[in-house]
Amino acid sequence: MKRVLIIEDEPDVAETMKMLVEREGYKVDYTLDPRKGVKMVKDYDLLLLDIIMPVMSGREVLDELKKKKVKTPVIVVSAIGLPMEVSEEISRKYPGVAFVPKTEMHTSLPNTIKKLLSK
Amino acid sequence: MKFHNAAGIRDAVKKTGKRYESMDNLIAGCQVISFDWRYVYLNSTAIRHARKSRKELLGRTMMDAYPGIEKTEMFRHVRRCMEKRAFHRMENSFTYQDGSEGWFLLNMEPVSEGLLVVSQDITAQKRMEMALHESEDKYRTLVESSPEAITILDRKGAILFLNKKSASRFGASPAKITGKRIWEYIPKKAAAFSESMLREIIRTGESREIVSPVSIGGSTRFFRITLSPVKSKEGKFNSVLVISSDITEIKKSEQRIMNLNRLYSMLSDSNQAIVRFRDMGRIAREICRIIVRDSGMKMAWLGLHDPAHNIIKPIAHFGVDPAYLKSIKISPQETATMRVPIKAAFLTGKPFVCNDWSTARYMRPWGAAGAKYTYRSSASVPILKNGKSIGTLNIYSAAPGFFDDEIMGLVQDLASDISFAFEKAKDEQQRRSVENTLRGARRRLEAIINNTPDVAIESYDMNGKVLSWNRAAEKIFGWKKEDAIGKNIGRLILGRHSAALFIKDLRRINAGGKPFPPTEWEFKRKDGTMGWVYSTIFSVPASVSSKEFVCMDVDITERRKIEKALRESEAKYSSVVENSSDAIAILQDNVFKFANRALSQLGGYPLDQIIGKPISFAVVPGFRHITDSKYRNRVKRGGPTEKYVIPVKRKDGVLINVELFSKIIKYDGRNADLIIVRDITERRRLDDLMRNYTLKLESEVNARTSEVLQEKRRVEELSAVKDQFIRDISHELKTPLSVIMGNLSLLRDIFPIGKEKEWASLLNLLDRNTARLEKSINQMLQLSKLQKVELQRTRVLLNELVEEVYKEYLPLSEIKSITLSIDAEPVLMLGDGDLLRLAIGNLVSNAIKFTSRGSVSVRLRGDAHSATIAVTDTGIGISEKNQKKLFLEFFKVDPIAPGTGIGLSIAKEIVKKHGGTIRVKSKLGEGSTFEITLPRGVQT
Repeated sequence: MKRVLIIEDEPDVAETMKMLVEREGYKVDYTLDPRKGVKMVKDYDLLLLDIIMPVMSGREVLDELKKKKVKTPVIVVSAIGLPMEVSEEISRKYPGVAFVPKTEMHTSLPNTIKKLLSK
Repeated sequence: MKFHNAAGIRDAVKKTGKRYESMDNLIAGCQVISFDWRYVYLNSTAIRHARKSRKELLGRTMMDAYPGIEKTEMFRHVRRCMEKRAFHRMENSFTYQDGSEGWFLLNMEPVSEGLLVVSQDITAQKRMEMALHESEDKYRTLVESSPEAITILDRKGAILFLNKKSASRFGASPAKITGKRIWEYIPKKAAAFSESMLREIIRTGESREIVSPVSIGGSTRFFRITLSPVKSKEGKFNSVLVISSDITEIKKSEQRIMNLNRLYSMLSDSNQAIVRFRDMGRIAREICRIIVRDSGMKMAWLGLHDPAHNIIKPIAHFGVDPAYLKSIKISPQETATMRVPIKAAFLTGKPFVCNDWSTARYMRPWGAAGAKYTYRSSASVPILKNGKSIGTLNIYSAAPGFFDDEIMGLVQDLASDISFAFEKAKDEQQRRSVENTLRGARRRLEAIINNTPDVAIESYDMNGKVLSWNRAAEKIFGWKKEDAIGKNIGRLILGRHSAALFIKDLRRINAGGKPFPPTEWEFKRKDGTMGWVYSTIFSVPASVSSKEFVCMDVDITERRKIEKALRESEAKYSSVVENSSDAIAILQDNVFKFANRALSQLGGYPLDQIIGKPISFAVVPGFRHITDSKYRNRVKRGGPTEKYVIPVKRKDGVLINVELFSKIIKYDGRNADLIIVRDITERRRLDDLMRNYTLKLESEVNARTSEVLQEKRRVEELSAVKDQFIRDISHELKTPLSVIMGNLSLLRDIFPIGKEKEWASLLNLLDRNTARLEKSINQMLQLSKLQKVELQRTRVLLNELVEEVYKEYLPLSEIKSITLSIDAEPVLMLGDGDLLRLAIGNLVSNAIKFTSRGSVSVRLRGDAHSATIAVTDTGIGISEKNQKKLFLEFFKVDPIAPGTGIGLSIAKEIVKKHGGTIRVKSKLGEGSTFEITLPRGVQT
């Protein structure tokens, strides 16, 4: 079973997302602390990452992973901005990183996970 | 500003007055003319320049104050400056009502009220310039038209100036000869004046006069040359004015009369000898002596016929080598040639004259002797006794042509007196000889006097009473002979004082017996006008006891006039220059050659500290090369008159701006730069004042601009805050929304048994509304973003967009059972396809939302320049009042129709960004049409 890690500072969002992803048949863990999450990633097949977080933002997490050459696929799940724009910005700045609006974690997220993990 | 009533004008005058207050007391005149040609401001100087009262001008139009002004050159410039808002500077003359003329330098400068005209009174400068020209012209005409040769020499004899007459004497054009030394053009011998004489004249400042004979074309002409020192503009003598007049005629007359005069005295003396001595031999000897001594003859001898030897035997002689007389043995025989003068005279009883020994063939036998004793002419007159020749009187002269008719008349008189002495008794001899002498003298003198043209010859007695008066005298003095004779000179042509001097001179001549050097006399003509004569006076015997004084005059009025005009012109010129309020200087050889008081005052440097200094000495360092190079170019190449401004340091250290007006002139015969210097610090100050005004205005504008910019920044900041706020709030809204939506999804997995249908319906309702909430949040973001992004313009087919929108909203319309239709022409435009689709979609979305039955139709049409998209529905419609508020941004507007705000605002924003318009036609309860018109920005 594929293992998915969620880095999300808000417990309600983290819990909901965990349940929604588990429903699709993945082993899911989450952490509310991005710094811990960065260390945990290497044990997982996929990372679901929030952007707006105190202490350490999702962008910093992505930068850190790049530095550590962690190859784990990442899907940014965020409530910021207009979905089209954010998606374009993420793929430009972090090639290979996918984006799913937070409001679509119950609809398009499972498909995106599936696509990434099947690669 | 333009005014339509008196109050408006008063107000404008008041306001303008306040604004230009700082100009009130300037030396320059300042006036502001409004756009409708009214005087709205005048300072006190401007009032003074206008010579009108403030009341007569303020608030009135220029045409009103000065009828006909619109036809003047000045007004043409005013109009141009006013309309073109351009600066202009000009000199303008102005005739006052009293006929006097004023000159002003006008600066016209556009100001917000209309035109500011700054005037400077330059009347004095202009007058001076004109006086200079006039003076120069007058001088030139006089000098050039003068019959006298006029030359100006420097102390070394270099020709500084000469008129045409003078140049023609030297046989060259004035241009060619100017600057050369005069010595090159006059024969050394004829050079009557020398360098040392020139220096002497310059040193002493005294005039000299010389008479110089010059041989021209074989004949000798006499010139009277006056040399007078000329003051330079600095007041020093540095050149000499030479006026040369041809006095050959007067000289000749003079010579002739002198000769006659000598003969008269000879005659007189001879007669006395005849009276005194009884012995004929003694008488003859005495007469020969007198002839040679008194009349300057080379030789005279008297011979009587010796019948015994039939020869003419000399009985008396004087001034001759006796050897010569011995060689002459003349036998008066009729058979021999009659062309021997003495024989001819003796035999014919008539005088025989040979006026040129060198050419007369019959004189050849005596040629060698003649050459030896320098005899050039001779006369032989018979001595008669009772009508028969008894001998001859023979006179020899060194001058060829000496024995003219007049002289011969005298000689014959002498011979007849001698004859008489041989014939008559002693007492009778005495009486007759005196009578004869006087009658003869009188007759001949009068003949000469009357026949001498152009030279007035009068004679006076010791008391100045006129004895004779020739035709030339009538012409010169205006008095007829009949009127003049017998009158005293003091009552005719001389004033009392001059007459006294004249008589005094006569007495001195009488006492000294020598003629006086020629003198110039000022005389009064019969018509009262004044003139000048150049005159010589000498005495002739009138009777044994009294003398007659002959006066010969040449009219020199013309020449005196020229001299006077020259002096006046000089005086006028120098007084104009000296008293000019403008600073004037003459530059030559790169230094100040002359400067007037005003220049000295302007710079604060004493005159002696200016003269001789280089021209740039007072110019502020850094600008000196300008004056230097300008000067060089101008003087060397005779550059044009020019004007420029340069900063100058006064002696007291104050910096002033001066305007230099420079013009090439001839000074001492060479190019020099005449400069007029004007202190324009005042004008500069005005300019600065104007600049300050402009700067103030600019800074005001800048302040306003920066306020606007600040406001803009503030708005931008606010807008950024708003955008950030919208981004934050959307994140904050979306995060819980995502939790709700996610959990709604999870809830569908766990339906409670038996209540599935109700549960699903409730979940659907929640889904719809969370979706709507999400859409609203995204639209909000969209709008805030739209306001600042640039359009991504590409070629867009609007009909395709309309079709896409149709496809997008067809399902929704079907759900609501509304007919959605499109009618789209193919229209190409340049625009942002995604945004245009959104705008059309929003309109269609709204139409469907507010239509419960009927239809929604989209129509697209295009023409050459624009595209029109109309979305028409049969919905609830919008009230007129609300139509106006419709396009305001959603969060500022009252809730009118729930849900329209953001979508419509986005549509409006997109249309606006494309440069298009959006409008609405609607009737409450009947439906609405939203119409977008877009510029196509592309040609089909």
